Amino acid sequence: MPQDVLGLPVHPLSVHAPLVLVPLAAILTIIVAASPDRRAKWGWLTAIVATAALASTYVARLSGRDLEEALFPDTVPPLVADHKELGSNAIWFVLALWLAVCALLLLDLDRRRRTDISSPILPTVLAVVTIMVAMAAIAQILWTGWSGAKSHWQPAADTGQSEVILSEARSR
Amino acid sequence: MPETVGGIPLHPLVVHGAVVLVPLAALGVIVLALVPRWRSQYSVLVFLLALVATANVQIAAMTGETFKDSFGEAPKIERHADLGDVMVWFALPLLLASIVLWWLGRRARNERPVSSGLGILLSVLCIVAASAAVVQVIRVGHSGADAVWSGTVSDG
Repeated sequence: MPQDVLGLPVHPLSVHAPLVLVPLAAILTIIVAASPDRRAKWGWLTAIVATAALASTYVARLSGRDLEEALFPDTVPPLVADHKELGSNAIWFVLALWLAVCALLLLDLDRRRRTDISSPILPTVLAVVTIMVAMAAIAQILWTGWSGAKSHWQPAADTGQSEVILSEARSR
Repeated sequence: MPETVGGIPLHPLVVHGAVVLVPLAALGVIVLALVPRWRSQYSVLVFLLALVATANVQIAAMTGETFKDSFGEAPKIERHADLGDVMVWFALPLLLASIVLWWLGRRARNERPVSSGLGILLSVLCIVAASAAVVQVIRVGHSGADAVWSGTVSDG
């Protein structure tokens, strides 16, 4: 991972992507899971957005680790540690979302190829599980983003780090 | 506009939307401008993206205005605010471009396509509008990030 983009840390830039793409992928996923018509129409689009969401979450995770090392080489403030833990787990939620979307689409492809009408139980169960995974992914991403924003912007943060950064900005 | 959400300033939350959705909508516009075949199926989606992106830009400008007041004198924030103030004039042409592509797609589907010269001209204008919006959102976003983050990893 590069350490900076035009002199600024990568992490606050790269987090924009998962924060928008994961909820977007999750909403599309819920739509295509709930409606087989939409699945036929938007299935591929959902898979592409989910893949982009997964990749962007991974980049955010890598760049977050870099930023942590750059800002806090010795002791990590508690709010940052909270954010790090949530962010480290977020990738598994998004991976679960990606796998659920792939399973849903592959099952659909398989069903369309066959002529015999098989039981609707498997697709229904898979759709329900997918919707639950999608909602969990949204929750986890929002929670992660929230904790990250708090670690930077909350003036009462234990280290006063945000105050330091903002006063630097003011003095320039 | 509320200034904070749960004690955290609202502006840095709202800008996530603009930073991702403007380039995403612009990508959609550029792809539809280049591939007329896809217009009938995806125009609505790209239009919705551009609409949400434009609304987001406006909300970012409004929350930014109040956020700026909490800092006092700061040249970097002034520069960011100046760039941000004109962002909506880049977002609106992007929105217009998505509507033009939708209209071109409808004309073609109803067997009443516009002349190929006009079609190419409008497609080129759409690509120009989309590219300009991306360039401006990068300039706005970078100037804002510079005000907050400069000096944290290198002597920017």
